[in-house]
Parts: sequence; C-alpha cells; structure tokens
Amino acid sequence: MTQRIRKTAATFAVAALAILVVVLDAQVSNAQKPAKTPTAEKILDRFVEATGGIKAYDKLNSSVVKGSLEIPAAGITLDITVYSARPNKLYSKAESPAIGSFESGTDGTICWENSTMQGARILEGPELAEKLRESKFESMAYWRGLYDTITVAGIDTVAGSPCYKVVLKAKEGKPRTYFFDQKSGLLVKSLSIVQSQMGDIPVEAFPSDYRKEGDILVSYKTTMKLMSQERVMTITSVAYNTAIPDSVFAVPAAIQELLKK
Amino acid sequence: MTQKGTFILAAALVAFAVLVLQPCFAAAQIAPETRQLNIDSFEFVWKTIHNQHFDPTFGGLDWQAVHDELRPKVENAQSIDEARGAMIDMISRLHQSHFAIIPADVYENIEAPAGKGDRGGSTGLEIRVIGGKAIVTSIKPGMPAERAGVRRGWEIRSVKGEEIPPLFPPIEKEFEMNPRRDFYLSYAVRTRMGGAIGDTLAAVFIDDGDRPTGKTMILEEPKGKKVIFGNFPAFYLTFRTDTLQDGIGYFTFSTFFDPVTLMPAFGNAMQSFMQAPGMIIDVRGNPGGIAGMGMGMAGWFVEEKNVAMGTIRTRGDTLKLVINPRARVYRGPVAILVDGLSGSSSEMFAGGVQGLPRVRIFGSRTAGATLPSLAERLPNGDGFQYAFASYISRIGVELEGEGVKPDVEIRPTREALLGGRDPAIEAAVDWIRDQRYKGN
Repeated sequence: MTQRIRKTAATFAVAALAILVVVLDAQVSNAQKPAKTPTAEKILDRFVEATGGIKAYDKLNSSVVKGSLEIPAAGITLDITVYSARPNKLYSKAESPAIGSFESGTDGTICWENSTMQGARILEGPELAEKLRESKFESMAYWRGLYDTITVAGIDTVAGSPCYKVVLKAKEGKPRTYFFDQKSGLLVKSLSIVQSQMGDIPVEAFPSDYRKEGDILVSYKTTMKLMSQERVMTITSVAYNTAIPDSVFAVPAAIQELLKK
Repeated sequence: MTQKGTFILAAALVAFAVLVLQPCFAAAQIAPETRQLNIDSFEFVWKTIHNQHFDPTFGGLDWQAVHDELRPKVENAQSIDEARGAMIDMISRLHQSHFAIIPADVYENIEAPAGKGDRGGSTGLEIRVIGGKAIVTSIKPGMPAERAGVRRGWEIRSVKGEEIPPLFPPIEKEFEMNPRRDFYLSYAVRTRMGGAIGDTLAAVFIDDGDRPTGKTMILEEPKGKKVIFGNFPAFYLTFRTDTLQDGIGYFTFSTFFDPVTLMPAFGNAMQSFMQAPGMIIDVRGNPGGIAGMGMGMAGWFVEEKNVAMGTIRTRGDTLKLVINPRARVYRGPVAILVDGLSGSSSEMFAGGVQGLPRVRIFGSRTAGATLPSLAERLPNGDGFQYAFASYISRIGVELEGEGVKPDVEIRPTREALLGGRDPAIEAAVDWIRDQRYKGN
C-alpha cells in the first residue's frame, strides 16, 4: 500500500497542480558495491516480512486510506482518499476548496483521470501500463511478475543509515529505484519518474513514520520532492477489508462519454 | 485586510516601484529579534532564487554580489519598510515578473469580510490610458462610480487634487518599448484611485460634453466572490455570460482563480453556445491565476488530442501544457480578447491557443508577465512570490517580456467608448461572421 499511495500522491502532485510543478534534485550518492549483498528478491521479500509478512497481506481484500497532501510552498493542503481492492481496482480523490478535485481510477482495464480544472481523460500507452501496474492490490507485497528485471545497484545511505538500493524495471515505463534500510528492511526512499501527459517528472520520496495498522506496518508520512519543491503526504486513517461498493470503482460518466467518441 | 485582485500582475511592478515610486520608509527603530527575522527573510529570498530560479545564470547577474551588497542594508535597516525595500531591490535586479514581497499586513484578517478601513477599497472603475488620457473603459454595476453617474469614455483629469495627465510622459518614456507600458500607465491611475474601504475620493472627470465634472465617491469592497489561494492575497472573481448579435456567445471573467466556481460556469456557457456561430472569450484586464484552468477551458473548443498550450521550463525539466478535449467540443470560431492588462495565465491561455485554425486573438499586446510562480511566507511574516519556471507559447515564443501579440491589433478609442461601442468586440464579431460555421 505504501508504494501505491505514494505513487497516487505523486500523481496528484503532478496532475492536479499543473502549474505548481517542478525538478527533481535527483542526487544519488556514489553507490558502492558491497562484498556481501543479498539478492534483490531477498531484499524485497524482507520488506514484505518487515511490514507484516505475506500471510498478513493475503488476508487483505481492500483498503481505504485517508489523509492529506500538503504543498508548503503554495500554502495549499488537499484532502486525499484512496480506495483499493483486489485484484487491481483503484479510485483516488484529492480535493481542496482552492483547486477543486482531482480524481483518478481504474476498474482494472480502463485508467482515467478527471479534474475540476482540466477535465477528463483516458490514459494510454506507457501511462496506462504504469497505472495498471501500480493499481495491483498491495503491489509492493505482490511484486513478483510486475517487473522484468530487479537488480541490486549497491549500498547507499539515507539519513545516515545504510540502505540497499534496488532498481526495478518493467517492459513499459521508467525504472524505479528503492532504498531499503539495511537494519529494518523498510523502504525509506524511492526515486521514480512519473509519466504524465506533461512529460516525465522525476519524483524523490521519503516514506517515514511507520505504524502498525492491524497486522501491517504502514508509512504514515511521505515527504516528496518534485521539481525542486516539497510535498508532504500524511495519512490519518487506514481501514482494511471494509466493504467498498463496486460503484466506487465504476468508470464515471465523464469518462464513459469520452469512450463513446 | 484585503488586497485587490491585480496582485499577480502587480508583481510585475517591482521594477516599476523602484524606478518610479517614491520609497516610504518609516523611522521607527526595530527590536533585535525583528532585525534577525528580517535577515532570515532576506536569506530565504536569496537562497530560494539561488536554488530554484529557472535560469541558473540569473540572466548574467552575479547573484552572490547582489547578496553581499544588499545584506548590510537589511542588517542596518531601522524599519521593516527599509528591510523590505532591500529585499524588493534584490528581486528587482532580475527584471522579471512574478517576484514580489507581500507586506505582512496584507494577510491580516485575510479570510474575514472586508470592512471599513481595510485596504483595497474600489470605485468600480476600469481605466486604460488612451492617447495620454486616463479613460474610463468600464464601470462595475452597483459600485460607487456608477452611483455617482460616471460614464464610459469619461477622462479622469485629477484625483484628490493631483493632475493625472502629467503622470504619463515619464512612464511612456521609461517603458516605451516595454509590453508592460499599458499596465504601468493604468496602474499609476489605479493607485491614486484606490484607498481604504470607507475612504472618500474626490475626482474631476471630463465628461462626454468635454466639461469638467467633479464626483465624490466612498470606496467599497470590490464586487465578486472573494477568493483565497494559498499564500496569495485575496482576489475577487466575477464572470458574465452574454449573447451578442447573431447569437454569438460571450464569456468574460476577472481572474483564473476558484476553479470550483469558474470552471462549471465556463463549461455551462460553452455547452449553451454549442450551436452558436462564434464564441468570444474576453480576458482583457484579467491578471491571471492558475494556468491549469486555461488548459481546461481550451478543452471545450480544441478537439484534437495531445495539443499542447506551450511548455514551461524549470531549471531541470520541460513540461508540456496539454489540453484534454471534452467529450463534446465547440467547433466554431473562437475569438479571444486581450489587452495590456491581460497578464500571466491570461497570456498563457491566449498564447497557448494562438495559431490554432479556429482561433484568433483580438486587442492589444498583453503585459508579458508570464512566469509560473508560488508564494511562501517569510520568517518576518511577509509573503514572497517567486517564479520557478518560464513559459514558451504554443508557437514557440517566450512570452515573458514579450507578451502575446494579437492577430488583429485593435485598441479602444474615447469616441467609441462614449458611443457605447467596443472596437475589439466589433472586430471579433466581424471575423466570426466571415467564418464558415461547421456545426457540431
């Protein structure tokens, strides 16, 4: 969930605020090849274990996450809600009185966005492939099969702590780099490139404040940097296995109209 | 306190303020802690520009030298105004729009209803300087100027005893080749026509019979919905839909803010004019706001996918401003009206669709103040607006300092205004009549 929420927030940050966007200060310090480094698969499995274990994830069928996305430089905060369900349904909404709403979602086939400012659109090409991949329920836990190559790129430090650096590449889309804390096994940083209709936007994210929600350890705070500016996403509540009506994931009327064109 | 709605474009006035207006420094001593907050604010402003300005060369300016020259002025400032003046001096060295220091008192009671004594009082007059004369181009209904009987086309000859025409020659000379000239000229009058809500303003007009006519008005809060966007001062949103001759649609709005209100209103207007022979979108005098709204508006009349309204360039990235066509799109001719007081997002909107086959731009050159920006609060309580990107129009023109050059250049005249005519609308209507209506 951590990864999906963060990606969703990054998408909000890019798409909902088309003009408040920015640069990645994508400084990655020189990686060093360690003498004994676990395989990328083991590092990812350890993350799954550290956040509750695959058996705990297997018990989950849906989640509803609520929180906020703050853009300090603009003095704006959006309320965010993300609904997700097996196998790959997703609906998210960010809204504030200042900019209105930005919605996005997928029923597992069609991926779409709709905003007060810019209207509706249907995702295509690499954007569609990326969105479908990230909409897989708990994709960080069920990572197998989502990527073509997963490699360890060395050891780096994040906030002074040594981390394994893992690069994930899919057929479509840009590579994504995760930094897992050697001690805790948790994800503490990621570098990704959000493919948007505006272009490719590098996003640097720092998940933190991990807390237990049921059997799962969840990052309640993620600080993101994109286009030299900061976004802070704070989760206020997580609810697992709540009944989510199918209508939440239904393709909205504005998108249905576009499909008829 | 409130700030009236031209703030984004007013940010372009930084250089103007330094060049033309007299500084007004208070003499009071400031406490050591206030002095430190001013120094911290100065450093924040300098570092933000140093780290985030889209041009890492700062246009050839030695940014470190600017810091070293001006920091002592902040350290030795005897008042907040003096410290603020050094910061304004610093950002003015860039000679770019969308860099501004917003006084802290602008934020006081920002969400409260405006009351007597708050700044931002208005007469309800719109003014343009035409042929060296300050001419009333429109009057907001229900505002003091309308109640006083002021008419379109009247000239403002003096305000509070100060003669207006002598203000213009030095501005004309200083900004002869600058697209912001019209804005600066109008602003010189606007500042004199402004004041606190409840203030009494006496002005002498030259009426339609060329007679001097004295009018006294009590300033009021502007009409419209008061809109707060992040750390920007308050704006007032008004919009109007009209049907012109031959059923041509018309939509005008005061600012690109409050999408929750404005976007549905614009969408409803476009839907109601789907069968109209033409559409006129009037952004004259519109200082801008959120650029993304222009992309959403264009989606109502651009039917091709992946059309970009130009690009924005930050220090590290280039991003396309892509239009999302609506499910049902208007397919007739679209005229966009602009003038020298159309700024920022208004220019990005017009410049973003200029050159599309069904679109024509009418009016006069826009302000050339098009840098995407943000506003943050400083440690001393002031606000700091800064640009983080440049904008290049759909046809490849960097509009900052250039503005949008209309396809059909046309300016208002006093005679036309006195006669109840609007030459820009008339030209747009004539063009629409010449177009073959495709239908939808």
